[in-house]
Amino acid sequence: MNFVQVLVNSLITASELGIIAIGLTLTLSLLRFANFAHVETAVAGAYIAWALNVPLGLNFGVAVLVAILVMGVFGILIDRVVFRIFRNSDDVAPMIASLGLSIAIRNSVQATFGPRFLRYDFGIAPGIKMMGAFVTRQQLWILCIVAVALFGFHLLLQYSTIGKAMRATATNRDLAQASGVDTEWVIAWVWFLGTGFAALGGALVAWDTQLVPDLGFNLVIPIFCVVLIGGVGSVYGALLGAVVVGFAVNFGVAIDLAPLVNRIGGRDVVGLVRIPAEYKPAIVYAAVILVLLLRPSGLMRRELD
Amino acid sequence: MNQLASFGIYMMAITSISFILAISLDLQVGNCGIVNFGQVVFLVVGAYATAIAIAGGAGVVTAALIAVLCGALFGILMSLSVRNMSGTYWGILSLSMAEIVRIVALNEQWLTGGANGISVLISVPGLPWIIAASAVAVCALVRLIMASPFGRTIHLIREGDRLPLSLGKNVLLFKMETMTIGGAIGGLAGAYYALMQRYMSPDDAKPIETFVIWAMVVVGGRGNVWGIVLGTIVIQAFYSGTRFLTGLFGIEADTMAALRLVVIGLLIMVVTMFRPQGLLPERRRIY
Repeated sequence: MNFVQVLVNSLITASELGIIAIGLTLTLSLLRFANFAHVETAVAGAYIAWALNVPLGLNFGVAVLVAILVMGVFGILIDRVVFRIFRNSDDVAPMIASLGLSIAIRNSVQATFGPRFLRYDFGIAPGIKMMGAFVTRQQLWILCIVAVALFGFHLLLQYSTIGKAMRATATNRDLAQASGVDTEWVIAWVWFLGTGFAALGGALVAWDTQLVPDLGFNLVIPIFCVVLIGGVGSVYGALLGAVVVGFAVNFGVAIDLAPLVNRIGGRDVVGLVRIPAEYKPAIVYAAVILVLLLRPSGLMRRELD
Repeated sequence: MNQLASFGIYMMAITSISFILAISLDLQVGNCGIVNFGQVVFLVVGAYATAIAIAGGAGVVTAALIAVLCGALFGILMSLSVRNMSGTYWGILSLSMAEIVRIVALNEQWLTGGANGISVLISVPGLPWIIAASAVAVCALVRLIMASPFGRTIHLIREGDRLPLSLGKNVLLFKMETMTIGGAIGGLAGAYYALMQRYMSPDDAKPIETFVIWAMVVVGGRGNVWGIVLGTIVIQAFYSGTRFLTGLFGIEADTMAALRLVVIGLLIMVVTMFRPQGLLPERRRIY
């Protein structure tokens, strides 16, 4: 196992998951329902960035920025059109509606762009080797962009009026409203930011790997896992969750389990045992089940801290 | 004409299988309030159990019984993790479980044939009619269950845990029993699916299959057997019927398949928004 390489891969996975998870954890804590369509908005954002970047020939950075804005507005729109109806209902009805929406978005993307994989138009630069690990330039960019975005979000949440209003609304919507916070306005901001960040995350994932309509399919459960580990509604918890999941999937398939198996078996049974790479997604699914069984409220506390 | 008749019989069988799955889902969601986003898992477990049992030399009836048993066992397994979780957590958890089963089916070649799937080399005479008859029987069974004291209790559980708990009902046990019955029925649907298609592969285990069944239940009307009948027929007719439109408008098959699912997704969304009780609402009974 190349330790540094696995470490770097874990960090990259974590940053991609973390930036997408923010929107999900925000809506989950403010509106108290699991938005299954969230990840699909990330994929849709990635496709919009592609449409601007490749057929229209826009600079990649500009394309992503426009995609973030478009998807942010789309987030406000789906809230106004779909989820506003469910403000005071139970948690199941909006979840089912979001499920329908996610199917609709994914297949609209597939119908528009086709099932084949696409790539962004971006000069392919040689990768960099550092401390025994191989990193592409995209991946370095991803780490930087996510770090900047998260730091910006942290400042917004802690020091701006809207950030404080968000935290107040997440803690207690009625109380916030009674104290003069326009909660609908706050909710609109949350959708804009959350879906915008999702679009950024989607574009980064697609940039790092490739763009396929099924991208969301492989991200839904990991993103929920990140949110659940972090504790619903905790932004910083979600970032911790992203790190945990990122490390779990990458180290999970890299670690040699032979010593463990030999100890359980009581003798030298095997030489080298690894979880097969095909089971990489299953690690996350198993993690979700474990977390829900052991600590349904997540590893961190509940409020938007 | 002959071709048309055999196609009609095939459609009847497929619709009946969907109906059995939908009524199993409705038993959980519509009647007991268990949000199962992994319903397809029962079909998958049942179908693979049947295919593997037949490959191992079992008779059709034995294989179907094994499938029902496996479905029920999986129902128990899933319900063991329900505990008193809210709908949100349940949805995520059941989806994860179904995905784990799909990944196992995809990768354990020695058991399931991996991505190539597994063939069922046996032909059952009059199978479509048996399936249709079973659908009617399952429907009657579920109605019977819902009219029993057990049915009334799970209806109560759907409305919240507190009242049944205060009446001394073991909510957990009732949920577990519901999932077991639902799993057994779903396992039967899986057995029929494997026998009808004479093939099973992990492609049929994707979450989207669950959501099509959900569309039937949501559109038709949760908690109402006739609603499920209507929902199954409408969705299945739309799902299968639009395949023939491919040649008509010059749309590629891939695009058509995607557009079909866009409509299914929007249907789920719009019905949940504006008519949450479905096309045929549940009749409220006063006891």
